[in-house]
Amino acid sequence: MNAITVKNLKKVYRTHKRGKGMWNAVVSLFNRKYENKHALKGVSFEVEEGEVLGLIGPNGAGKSTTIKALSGILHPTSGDVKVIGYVPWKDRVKYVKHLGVVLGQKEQLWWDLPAIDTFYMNREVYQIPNNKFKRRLNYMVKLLDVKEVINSPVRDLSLGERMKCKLIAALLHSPKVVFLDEPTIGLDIIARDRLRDFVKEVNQKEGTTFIVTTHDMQDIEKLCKRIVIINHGVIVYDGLLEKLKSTILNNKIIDVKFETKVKGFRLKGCKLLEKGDYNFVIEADTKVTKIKKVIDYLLLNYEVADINITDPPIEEIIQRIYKEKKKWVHT
Amino acid sequence: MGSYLALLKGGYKEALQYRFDFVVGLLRVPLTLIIFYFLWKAVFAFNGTDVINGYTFETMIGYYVLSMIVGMFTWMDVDNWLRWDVKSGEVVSEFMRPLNFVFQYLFRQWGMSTLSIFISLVPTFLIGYLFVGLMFFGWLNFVFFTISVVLAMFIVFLITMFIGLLAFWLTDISGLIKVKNMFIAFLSGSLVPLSFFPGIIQKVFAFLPFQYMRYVPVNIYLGIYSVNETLFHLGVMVLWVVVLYIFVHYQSKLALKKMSGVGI
Amino acid sequence: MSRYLRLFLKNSALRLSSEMAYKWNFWVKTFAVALGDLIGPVLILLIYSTTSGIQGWSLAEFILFQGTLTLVIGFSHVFFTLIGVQTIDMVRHGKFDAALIKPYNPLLYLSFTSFDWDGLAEIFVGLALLTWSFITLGIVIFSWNFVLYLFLIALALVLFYSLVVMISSLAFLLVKSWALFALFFRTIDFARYPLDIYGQGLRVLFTFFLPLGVASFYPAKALLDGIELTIVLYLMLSMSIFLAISLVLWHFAMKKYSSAGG
Repeated sequence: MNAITVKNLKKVYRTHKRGKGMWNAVVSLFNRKYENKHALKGVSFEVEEGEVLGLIGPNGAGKSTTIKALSGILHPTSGDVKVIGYVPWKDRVKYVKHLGVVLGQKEQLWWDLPAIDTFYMNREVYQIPNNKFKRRLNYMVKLLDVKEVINSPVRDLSLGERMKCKLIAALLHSPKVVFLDEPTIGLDIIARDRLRDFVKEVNQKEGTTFIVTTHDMQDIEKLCKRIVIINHGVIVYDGLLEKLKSTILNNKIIDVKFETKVKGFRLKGCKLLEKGDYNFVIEADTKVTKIKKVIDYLLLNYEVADINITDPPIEEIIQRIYKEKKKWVHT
Repeated sequence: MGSYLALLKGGYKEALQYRFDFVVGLLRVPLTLIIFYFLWKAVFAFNGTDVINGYTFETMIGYYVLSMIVGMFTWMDVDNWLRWDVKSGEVVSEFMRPLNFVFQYLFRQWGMSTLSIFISLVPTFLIGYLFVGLMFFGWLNFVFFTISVVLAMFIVFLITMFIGLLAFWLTDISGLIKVKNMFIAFLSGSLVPLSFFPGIIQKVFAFLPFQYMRYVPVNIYLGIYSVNETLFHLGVMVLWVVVLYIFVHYQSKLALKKMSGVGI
Repeated sequence: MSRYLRLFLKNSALRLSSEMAYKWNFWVKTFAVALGDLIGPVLILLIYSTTSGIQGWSLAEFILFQGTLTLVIGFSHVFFTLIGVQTIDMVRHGKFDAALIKPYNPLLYLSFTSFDWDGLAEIFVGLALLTWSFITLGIVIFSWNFVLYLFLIALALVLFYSLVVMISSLAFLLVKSWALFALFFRTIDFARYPLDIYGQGLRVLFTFFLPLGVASFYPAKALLDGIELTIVLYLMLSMSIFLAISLVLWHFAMKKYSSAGG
């Protein structure tokens, strides 16, 4: 069953162009020149009930426009959206009762009060029955280990503690669908792991559908099986993470440090991105050479001090997808 | 000196950001003047006298026009800045600069005031001369008036600074800032010439700095004091500036100590 | 409706505990607000103690006049001001989305979560001024005029609510809405003195076009001398128009926001 269906979603912003200076400001009062900005150029995807979908893309790609349309905040120019049976912007009030949203940086907690007070406020906002509220609060507090945290004023909390409280606030009313916008940005590794485990647990136990937008590939790998990549208002990839990894993410970045001075490096399928006296940054194409081969070669021929293997950044992945597509179109 | 000029420029640029607010703020002057104009017209008409408490209708309206002009020069926002600077911790950078802490805020304020004075001074004088018949009371009075406005500016600045510096000791000074503004509204003479207050209260006012913020400079312009009286008032104003400066100077030293002790 | 009431109670309680986080500052703010409300009455007191005042108004009548306005401003401060403050702040910082992901009509949600404890002092000052002038003037509470007086105060509150909603709506259309808010408070100053001191033009303006007279002049007149029913009917019509315009404007602002997305 689909929890979310998006069909050919388009959004055109009409912004008026304004020149600089006082005179142009006056002119634009009478003679406005408009400019159309296509934020979404026909986006379609589906999310199954109980899925955790990763929505990724660079800044300004259309991620937040999509999330806003799905939250009922934004009226799209055209296209159909159904989320758990509702058209978000038409049935907004009824719909958002079943929706939880964590807006990344924006504060949703009462600054001078303990987070528990915000939770009580949300109990009224969503009219959660008392016993259900208590049960749910206890469950989440235990899971995130914030028993003391929720009783001290929010202004005294760390970024991670605040994010945990925001998550609780957004999930208290047991929403069926949850949108998380950059949930781990700025958090330390331990807090990140805790948050990811929490989302996973809620998802598995309650079948809650999640859409997570993030810059962090780690978030994606830990949480999502399927991802949608969006760029310039178009979906450039929709499919399993594994598949992306095997077809496009076949490049690995290898950061090696050495005990002794090194000179050059040459191996089939490898590109030297950066070269220092004591380190290399190598990009290895795993279709040509197995990663094990590269490592073996390095260990055999150099005094290796440290090796670090990572995925390329998101911008590069998108570029690769484009290249792949072009190849596909041309041949 | 160059660094102070940079602060002046910075303040001016900051003010440019808020020029729309200044222009709307400009509307306040005619609005308030219209209200006082009609109020006093009604009072003079009903009482059937030409002079009330030493003021004719013309000098009374002139009083408000001038009071607003003095108000433009003595508009100070440093307490709000300090409130934010201390809250955000940015105040550290002010202390780190090799400049006088108090003067930094003064120059930033001057930079900001310049714009509002540019925008509002000429229209207000024009309203005064064209519609209200504000007269010129001679060059001597004008020179004394100018000196008194400068001194008044320092007095308001130092008191505002005093309130702002309290932010180092109190969690939130927004309420105190409001109370200070109310005290200035009541006791400076911006509401009504202070001679309308009962005699005993006026005697108390003489020992407070507030009357020097509006009432005394305006009366100097209007030629209400003799030369000796004027010089006496100017002397008292200088005294206030010195006393307040010494006080605020030590207060800022204590603030530094407090900050480095707690490590805000 | 009861869910809005519960929302209101919970939110107001939280706002109080939020204020109490800086207890000392709260009382200082309250003191400042009360002082601010005394500016007008003190000016009048000073004028009446040195002159015989203005035609048609005794000191007690004048205080009744200003007490009425203080009461109206007080109620508006407590119940309406934060609607504007919250909206402008949210729009400026791109946080209005937070109001739209709540399962409520956004204007009603804002209206029921905007109780400002700072303003209570204003209501008390207003009531104190009224009590003194009522006793001095020997005003009878059980009278037709008094009912009319209360009714006009209610109309004044409709006007102030409409104006706040209008300014809040403009926050979506203009960037600089703080200045407008400040201008609104300045304009209210005209209502601090009886309309009959102003020239013909201003009197017409504040009766027919921007009927600020409903916040002080007409209720005080109704209580002291009684006013014609036609004026009451006109004011009723006028307030309905103001309310309607403000709601249309709000609707328009919401439409603009949801198509531009902030």
